[in-house]
Amino acid sequence: MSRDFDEILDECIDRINSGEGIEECLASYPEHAQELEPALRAIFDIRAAYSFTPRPAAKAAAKQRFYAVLDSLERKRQERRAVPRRLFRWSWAWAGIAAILLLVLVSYALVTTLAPANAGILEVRATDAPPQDVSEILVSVDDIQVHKAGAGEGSGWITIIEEPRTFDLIKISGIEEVLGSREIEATDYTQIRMDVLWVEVTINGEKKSATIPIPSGVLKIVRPFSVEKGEKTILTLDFDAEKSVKVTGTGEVIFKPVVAKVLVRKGEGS
Amino acid sequence: MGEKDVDERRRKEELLARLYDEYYDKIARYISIRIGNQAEAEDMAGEVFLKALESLDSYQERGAPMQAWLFKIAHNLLVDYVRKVSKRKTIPIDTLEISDRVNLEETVERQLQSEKLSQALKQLTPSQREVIGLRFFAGLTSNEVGKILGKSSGAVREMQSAAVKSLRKLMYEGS
Repeated sequence: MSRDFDEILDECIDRINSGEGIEECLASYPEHAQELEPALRAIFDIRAAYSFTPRPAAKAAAKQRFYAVLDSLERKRQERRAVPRRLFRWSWAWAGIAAILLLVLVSYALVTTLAPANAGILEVRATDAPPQDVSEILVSVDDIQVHKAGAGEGSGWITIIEEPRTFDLIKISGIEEVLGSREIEATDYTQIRMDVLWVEVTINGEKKSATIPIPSGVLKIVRPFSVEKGEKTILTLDFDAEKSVKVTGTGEVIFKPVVAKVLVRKGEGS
Repeated sequence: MGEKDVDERRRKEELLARLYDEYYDKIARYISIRIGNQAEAEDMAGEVFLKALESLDSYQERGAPMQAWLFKIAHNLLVDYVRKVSKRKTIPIDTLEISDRVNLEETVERQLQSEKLSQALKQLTPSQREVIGLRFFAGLTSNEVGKILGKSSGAVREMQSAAVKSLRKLMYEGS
């Protein structure tokens, strides 16, 4: 079969696909009609034999599924756009209280465990405000430690809270939750660190585990402060919610704790 | 995903949705001729559009038009389907509905012709059947078929001619 015939047949198939009949094509190529006609008849027969129309119910059901997925995709896009914006508004509006409060209380009554008048108590509190889409931000931490000034990096860490503590930044709106406290030595400290175990954020009723992209899950804050003999020292770590909680384009929630400021106060109790 | 990407994604989704009504039928027919099962073909045609939504970000308009891209997805689904059912030795032939007594003779004739065609199609190579499906039922051009199959339009035309020649021989000269 010549190449020319292949091209003619191809053209005729295109013409038949666009609605022409066999006769028109045969009329265009009378010199090939004897060979072309049975080929085109065969094509017509095949099309006639297999040319079924899908059942309307099957097509409608498939179309419904297609549009349901389309709607779902659009909703997710809207959510992704809305959450970061609302978190942004919320974090600035409540910047002062979207925080975990570490209360370092220096007590007079520390003779039983440490040298007289040379110990303190640590308490952990949290408070927050509920944004519209985010209904829960559960943060679980443990092994909260402070580092004594002048001590070695390996030996100078003093554990304040050892066991895990979980707090909901949304639920504790407007209140302070004491997460723990402990007596510590009255001296100078330079750093605070804690293990962030896990974070779970609920957005529009859907719980999502947040990725915590910090090395070894340890949050370390460099902030010198002093615990004075016979006084309470309150150490407040103010987390920036906007920068701490991020929702990526793929819907992944990332919790990268960012401490906006560290406040050191004296004389307040729990 | 930035605003520009979101807008681009939406635009592609709208284009895909506009193609749904026309191309659902064509894709179902194309699949039907390959697997010989209309109900299965209807399901798979729906699946083609869902797969298209999943991988819409990878679709590049500078390549094949979206219609041809849909058939590429259908082709890939067919490859998976054939692999799964390769243990089956027979391909079901859909039964034509007999509408009334007046058309009984014609209907039976059509059914016999359909069975003969089905047997003839089985004698073709998979590539030839693919070309027949994409050219006669999907209505794609040889150039578009070539992009889907990774062949030149000339190679597609040659396969097409060989397929038609074989079909003609099997259907008419064998009877």
